Amino acid sequence: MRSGLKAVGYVIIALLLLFILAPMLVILPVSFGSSGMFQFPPSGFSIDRYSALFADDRIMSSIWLSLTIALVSTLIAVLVGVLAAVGIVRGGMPFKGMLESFFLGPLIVPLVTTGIGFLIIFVPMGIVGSPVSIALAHSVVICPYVVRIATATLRQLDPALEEAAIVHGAKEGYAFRTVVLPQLVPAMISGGMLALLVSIDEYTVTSFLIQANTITLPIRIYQLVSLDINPVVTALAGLTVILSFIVIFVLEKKFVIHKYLEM
Amino acid sequence: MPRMKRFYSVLGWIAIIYMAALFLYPLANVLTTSLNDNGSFSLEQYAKVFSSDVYMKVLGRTMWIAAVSTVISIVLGYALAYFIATRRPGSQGLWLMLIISPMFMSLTVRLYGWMIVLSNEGPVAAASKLLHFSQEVSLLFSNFSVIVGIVHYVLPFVVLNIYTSLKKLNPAVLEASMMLGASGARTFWHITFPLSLPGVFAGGSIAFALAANTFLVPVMLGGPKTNLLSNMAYNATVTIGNFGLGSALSIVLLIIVVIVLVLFGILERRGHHA
Repeated sequence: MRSGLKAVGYVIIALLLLFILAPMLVILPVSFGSSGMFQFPPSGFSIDRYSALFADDRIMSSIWLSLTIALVSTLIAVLVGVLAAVGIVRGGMPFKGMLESFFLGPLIVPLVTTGIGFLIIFVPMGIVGSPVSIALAHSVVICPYVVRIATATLRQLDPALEEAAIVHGAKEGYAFRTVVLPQLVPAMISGGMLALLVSIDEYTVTSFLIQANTITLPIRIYQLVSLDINPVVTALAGLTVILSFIVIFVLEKKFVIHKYLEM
Repeated sequence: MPRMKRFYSVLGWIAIIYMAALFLYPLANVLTTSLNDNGSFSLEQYAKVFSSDVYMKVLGRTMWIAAVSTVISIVLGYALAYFIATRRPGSQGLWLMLIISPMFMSLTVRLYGWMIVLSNEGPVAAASKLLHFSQEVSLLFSNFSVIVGIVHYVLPFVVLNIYTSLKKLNPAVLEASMMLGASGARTFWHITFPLSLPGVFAGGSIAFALAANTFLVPVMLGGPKTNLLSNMAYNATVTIGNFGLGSALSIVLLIIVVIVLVLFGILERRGHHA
C-alpha cells in the first residue's frame, strides 16, 4: 500500500518534469529537422537552419543590439542596486522598510504601466526607439534582482570589519572599497547575471520603445515565429536552449546560485 | 559608527534619485495622463473603462485566468517543492535547479516551444490521433493554451517560495509528531502543511501578480479573443495612440494587483503567527 502510493507519487513528479521541460524538449529536435516549424516529431535531419541563422543579418544585428543593451543596463543596475542595498541595510535613512519595497517596485508594477511611463517621458525627449532609451528602461526593470541579492548578502556581513578600518584611520570611501565591496563581489556577479538574463529576454517594456531599426532579440523571435513564420527561428531557439542550460550549469557550479534564489 | 552610516546614506540617496527619476517619475506621469482631459482633471477615462462591456469583460477574464493559473501553480508547485525538500540534502540543490531551470530561459523561446507542443502537428495532437479521437484537436490560441503558458511561466517562482518555507521546518517537530504515533499523512496535514502556508501565500501572490500582468503569453499563445488587460492597455496606447485610455487601463491593473498582494500579505502574516 505504502510503496504503491510512493510509485504514484513518482509518476506524478515524472509527469510534472515532462511538463516543465516539454517546450525545450521539442525545440531541439525541430531545430535539427527539415520539416515544418510547428511539426513534432520532425522528419529529416539537417543543420541548414543553423547555418542560415548565422548568415541572417537581421537576426545577428538583433543579437548584438540585445547583448549591448543588456551589458549597459546590467552595469547601471549593479551600480544602482549596490548603492541602494548599502543605503537600505547600513545607512541611516528613514522608512527603510518602505524604501526596500520601493526598490523592488518594478517587480510588482505591471510592465505595461512601466512601459507606458517610459513612452510618456521619452517622447518629448525625442529618444524613443534609441538603444539608450531601451537600456535606461531595462536598468530600472532589472535593478530589483540586484537589490534583492545584495541586501540579503549585506545583512550577513559583519559591520565590525569596516568599523575596524575606520578606527584605524581609513577614510569612508577607502573602507568601503577595500573592505565591503570585495565581500559583495559574489552577490554582484550573481545578481548581475540574473539581471543580464532578464534584460536579454525583456519583451513587454521594450515593445513600447522599439523602432524598425532597434528590434531586440525577443521581439525578433516573436516576429519570426508569429508573423514571418520563418524556420530559421528554430535554430535560434535551439541555440538559446543550449546556451541557457550551459549558463545555468556554470552559475550553479561556480556560484551555487540556488542559494541566492531561495526566498 | 555615525561617519560610515552617513557615507552609506549618501550612497543610498544616489540610488533613490536614479529610481525616482526613471521609475517613480514615469509612473506619476502615467497616473496624471490617465486623469487628464485636455489639460484639466477628469475621471473620464476611468468612466470609459468601467462603463464599457468590452473592457469589463477583459478585466473579468484577466482576473479569472490569473486566479485559475495561480491555483494550478500552487498545487503543482507544492508537489514539486515537497519532492525536492524530501530528497537527500546533498542533491536538493540539483533537483531545485532542474525544476526551476525554465526561469533562466527566454520566455519567448519557451512559448514558441509550447506552440509546437500544442499545435495541430504537435505531439499532443499526434497522441490523440493515435488514441482515435477523431476530430482535429486545436489547443492553441485558446484560454487553455494561455493558462498552460502562464503556469509554465510562474511555476518556478512558486516552487522556490514553497521549497524555502518547507526547508525552514524544524525536523525535530516532524520527528516528535511521528514518534508520538501520528501517521505520515496526519503529520503532513497537521504539521507540515500548516507550517508551510507562508510559502504557499508568498508563492501565490507572486504567481497572481505575474499572471495578471502577463503580456507576452496571450500575444503568442492566445487568439484575438484571449486578450488580457495588459494587451488592451498596449493596444490603446501604441496601436490606437490613446495615451489616456491606455494609462487608465494599466492603472486599473496596477491597483488590482496591489490589492491582491496586500490580501495575500495579510494571509502570509497570519500563517506566520499560527
